[in-house]
Amino acid sequence: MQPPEAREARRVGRAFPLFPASMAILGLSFLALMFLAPLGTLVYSSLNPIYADPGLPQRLYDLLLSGDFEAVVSELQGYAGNPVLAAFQNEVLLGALRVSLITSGASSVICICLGIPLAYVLARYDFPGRRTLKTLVELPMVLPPVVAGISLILLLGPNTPLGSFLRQVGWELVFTWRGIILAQTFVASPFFVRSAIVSFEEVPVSLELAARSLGASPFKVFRSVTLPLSARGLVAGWAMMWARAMGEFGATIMVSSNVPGQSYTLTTAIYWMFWAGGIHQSIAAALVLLAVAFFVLFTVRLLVER
Amino acid sequence: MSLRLESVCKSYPLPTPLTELLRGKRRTLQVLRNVSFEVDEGELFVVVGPTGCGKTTLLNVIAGLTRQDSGHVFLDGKCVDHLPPEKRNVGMVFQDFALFPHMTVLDNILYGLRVRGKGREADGKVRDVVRELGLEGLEDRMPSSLSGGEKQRVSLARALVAEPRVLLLDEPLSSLDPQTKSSARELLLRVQRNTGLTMIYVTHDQVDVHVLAGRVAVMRDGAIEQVGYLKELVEHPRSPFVASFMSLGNVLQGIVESHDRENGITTVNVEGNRLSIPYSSDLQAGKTLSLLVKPEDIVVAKTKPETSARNVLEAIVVDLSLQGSLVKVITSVGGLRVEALATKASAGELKLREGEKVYLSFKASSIHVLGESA
Repeated sequence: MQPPEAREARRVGRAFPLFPASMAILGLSFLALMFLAPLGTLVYSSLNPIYADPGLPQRLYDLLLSGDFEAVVSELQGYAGNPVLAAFQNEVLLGALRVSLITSGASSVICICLGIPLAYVLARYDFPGRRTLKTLVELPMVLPPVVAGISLILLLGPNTPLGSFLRQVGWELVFTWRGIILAQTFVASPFFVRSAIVSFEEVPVSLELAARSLGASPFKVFRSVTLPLSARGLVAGWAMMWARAMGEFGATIMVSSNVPGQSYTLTTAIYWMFWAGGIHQSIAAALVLLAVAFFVLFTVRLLVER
Repeated sequence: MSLRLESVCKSYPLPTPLTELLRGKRRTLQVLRNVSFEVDEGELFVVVGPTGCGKTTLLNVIAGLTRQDSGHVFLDGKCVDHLPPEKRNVGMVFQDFALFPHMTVLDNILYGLRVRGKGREADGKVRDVVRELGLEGLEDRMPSSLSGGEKQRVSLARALVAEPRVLLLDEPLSSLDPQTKSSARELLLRVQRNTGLTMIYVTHDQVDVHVLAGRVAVMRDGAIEQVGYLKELVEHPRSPFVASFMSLGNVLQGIVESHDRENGITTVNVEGNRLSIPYSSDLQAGKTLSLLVKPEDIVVAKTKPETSARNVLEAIVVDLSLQGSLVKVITSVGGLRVEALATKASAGELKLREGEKVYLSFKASSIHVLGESA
């Protein structure tokens, strides 16, 4: 929730324009250098393939200055066969998009099904070791994903006891698409669980007690009172978790195999295709991830700030 | 439905330093100490006590929302200790009303029926309750748009519609403004009379006690100090706490000096003043006693009354204030605050003014011995 003080603070800020102006210049230049420049170049290069035609921006600029708009249009029409746009028909890229959507969807389901009970217990019950457990839950947020990857390989890799057993059963986890799901769940789950804990804590206990005294079983109370009242936070947490899963790279690259179209996610596809010389496909995949990230953050903001 | 509590105890764990934990000690807060009482069918039973004395925990134990450490709760003679709250059918009205903010007023009221899978057949009853509590026209509103009094009535309606065997009310009026409060009180009394529902009403407000109570339990530090009809409590408070909490009058501390068996008098020294109280052989000389003298039993005079049958205290008037048709005279007896009541006429005749010396007199029989103090 956005505290009313924050809104008030922004209003008061306008009364002292000089100081904020200098702050704004510093802040915006930071934003521009760190984020807008690289991300802007990414978008720009997708629309104007500078690698294919380095002279295009200059020509477009000259044409715009001279006011010859017909020439601008014909110049742009020449780029209808934009290689980045064309990459969206690329088999490898489409395969990676499909793998990313499926695996992140699956890890979302796991996170929600296991994360809701975990978060509820952590939010509602006091028991020895609660703080330690809460810290453990959040650990993957600061742990380098590569560490998650190597841990998973050590536990489930083909030469480990558990891994060889799974291999006999035909349910290998590591170096298959299932391993990708595990890696994403490992790394992204804290984003959901943390948000769920806070959302559950914000539901007044007296409402749950009132529902119990009116004859509702604990499960009915959860379904009819706790869940609807924490829904916003849960959805916001899930969106963050999903975006993190979509963007997972470090653990994924360790536990997935290198089969284009099958075990590439969008992130690993960017990596492999870039080094294989597929710059346009990489840019296309990057654009998808950029859009996902922005869309998710914006949605979360809408949900949380109402 | 009748309700009985049998020596119920409850304590909560407190944060304990590790050093004590290692020695096997745990710090706890005892919230209920051996609470026992009985409430008859159709009774409006009031539990009164200062904030933090364990009243809410008591209700939670009855409703099954908290499990007691020891002791038993009986509903209609049957022990319900093992029953979860949803099986006890004990309704509760919460201090903050606890309305479900994501449901309309009507959905709130219907909640108890819906979770039991009977929404439809109770339409008539719901309409009756809605009319009785004056909630018509509010059915589709959300709780956040209601006034305090409306919220209180919705939460009462929600509890009533579920047809509880016992209704528990946890300071249901404490967050209302004074006018709403008194009309809500009347409504509650009317509902209780019409439905004949057994109710336990918890409050720290003595006005609630005087308006509502048949029987009252006074609670202090998790223990019941006294249970009885309001009249009994007022006439024979059993402890200084009951007397002072119920604002019954002046509580004085005195030391027993001597007994006079022939005249039936025991003498007690209160701050240098000798007071005569009814003879009682139980009172040993040297013991410290708490005595209650009610303001209405004290006669205020300008000259020292020549009577041996009465106790007389010399006092200085500290303050005068109107209390209805009476004048409350607050005096100081050697630093001790003593209140007396006088009619307006007599206060005018006496020409009472602040700082004046007066004599307070009262019969030996109007002194109530509240018990020995530590």
